[in-house]
Amino acid sequence: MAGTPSASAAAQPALETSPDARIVEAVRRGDREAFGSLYDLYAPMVHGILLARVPWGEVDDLLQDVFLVAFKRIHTLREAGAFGGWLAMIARNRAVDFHRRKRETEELPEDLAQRSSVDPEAAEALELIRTLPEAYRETLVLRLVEGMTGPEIAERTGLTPASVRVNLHRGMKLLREKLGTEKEP
Amino acid sequence: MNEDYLWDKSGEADPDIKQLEERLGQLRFKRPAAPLPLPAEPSTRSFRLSTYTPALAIAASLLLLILAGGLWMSLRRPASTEGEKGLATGKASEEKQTQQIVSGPRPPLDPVKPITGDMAQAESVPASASPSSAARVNRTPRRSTAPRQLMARLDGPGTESRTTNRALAREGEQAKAQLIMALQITSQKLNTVQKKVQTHQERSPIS
Repeated sequence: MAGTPSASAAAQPALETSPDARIVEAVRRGDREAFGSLYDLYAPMVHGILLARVPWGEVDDLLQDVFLVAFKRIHTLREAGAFGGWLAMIARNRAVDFHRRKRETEELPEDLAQRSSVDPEAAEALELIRTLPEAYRETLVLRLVEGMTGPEIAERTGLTPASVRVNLHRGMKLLREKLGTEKEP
Repeated sequence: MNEDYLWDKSGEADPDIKQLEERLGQLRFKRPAAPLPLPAEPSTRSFRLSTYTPALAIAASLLLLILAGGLWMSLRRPASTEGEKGLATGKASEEKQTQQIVSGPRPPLDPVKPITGDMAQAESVPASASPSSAARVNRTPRRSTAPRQLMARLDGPGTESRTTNRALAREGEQAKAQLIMALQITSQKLNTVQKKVQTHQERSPIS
């Protein structure tokens, strides 16, 4: 069980010696190419987290912001193996910050760019997913938009596989209800 | 619903999920052609205010306590000097009075005689005394000096120490009041520091 002390004690060295941890250590030593590897590994996750919260047209800029913040603050990360969860938190905070600033400045309508350049059916499906509770929304976007599998989502975000499985199942059930494709059991 | 396909894309594909994947797949992340514009060096500064808040608060309180202590000492010094002066003046005047008593008409009391219940008898005029001296004894000054001498005898050698104790007690009271004032100032300053730290934490947007 993930929450037990023995499990967490055993997980600690595993986190520290994971491939991600080694890449993070390399970045800390000044290896810029190593940060490129982290970008390749984690950009889909950050993209999905942002897409679940902000308009599609804003995602690319915010994604760059998230990685720049991560690069600047990588020395504040205590456990190198927890990079994924830490980065996911930066992305969520950045999305919250975006909405806070948007309220202050009252810019163009949220889905203007989306309406002009995205397939309407895709935009509609995404809008439906965005109406779901946050935990389901994020997991479903990572699965359906970014094409990540459940184990990959768990590994990247730092969530437990069980949580991801539950979120996927319940989120999909809610989405089916909204799409009107709920099947009788 | 095929849960295995939803979980890890294994098994038979669920048509609804497959359709959603195809639709939403066009929004998927595409690596930009331009590389990520990274700054020259990642920040090597690992300082986090939230991490160091307790240490900062302790350091601030210690600093304020030291400042308060210094303030108290600087306030205490002139007060104690004045106290010592006053004490010295008091001593001088007391000595003067004692000299006056000694140089004046000597009372018929034995200065080292212990106080007993029949003190009244001891204070009575001896039979050998002349009438003039007896009259002198019964004069008014005796009334004014006798209580003092009695007090001196009662106090004995402890009079000086009692005066010193009184002065010290007064000084202690002053010091206590000053310390309380210094502690109040310290507490106010600490509150201000805590408020500032809280405000700073609330304002920092990204953890």
